[in-house]
Amino acid sequence: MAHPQAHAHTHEGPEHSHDHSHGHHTNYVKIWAILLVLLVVSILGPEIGIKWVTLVTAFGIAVVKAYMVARYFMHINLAARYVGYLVTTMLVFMLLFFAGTAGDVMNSEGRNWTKPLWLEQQAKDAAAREAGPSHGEGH
Amino acid sequence: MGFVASAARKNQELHRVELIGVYWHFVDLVWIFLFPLLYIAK
Repeated sequence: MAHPQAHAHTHEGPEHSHDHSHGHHTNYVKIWAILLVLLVVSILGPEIGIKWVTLVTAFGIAVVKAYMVARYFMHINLAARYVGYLVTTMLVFMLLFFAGTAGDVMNSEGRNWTKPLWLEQQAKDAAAREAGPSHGEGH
Repeated sequence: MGFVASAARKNQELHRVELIGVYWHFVDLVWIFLFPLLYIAK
C-alpha cells in the first residue's frame, strides 16, 4: 500500500506534503456512526423473517459496510487511483472464480458427492462409439 | 504496537501506524461478512 497520509499529493514530493494540511480530512467518527446504524439495520432486518429482506439486510449491508471500511478506513480514497483499480480487478476475479467453481464444489462435499448424469451419459456414449464402427457404414 | 506508538509520537515511522491500521481493518472486513454468516443466517 502507498502511504496515503504522508504522500497523498505525490506530485508535491514527500518533504513538502508533510507540513501542508491537504483537504483530505475524513470524519472518522461520522463514518463509524454510519457503520453502527447499518449494523443495527442488519441485525433488525432479519428479525422480520422474510427471506429476501434477510438476504438484503444481512449481506447487502455487509457489502456496503465493507466498501465503506475499505474506502475510508483503509484509505483507498487517499491512495493512488491504480490501487482502487487493483482492488476492483481482484474482487472481479475472486467472484468469477467463485462462481465458476461453486456449482461443482457445493455438490461434492465428501460423501454427499453425486455422480453427475452427464458423466454417466458420456461413459455410455464412449462405449457406444467403441462398439459403433464394427457394424454398419456409419451415419 | 507500543513500540510503534512511541515512535509515532515523535513523528517517526508513521507508515507503521498506517500498516497496523490496514491490517486491523482487513480483519474488520472479514468480520463484517462473518458476523451475518455466523449469527444471522445461522
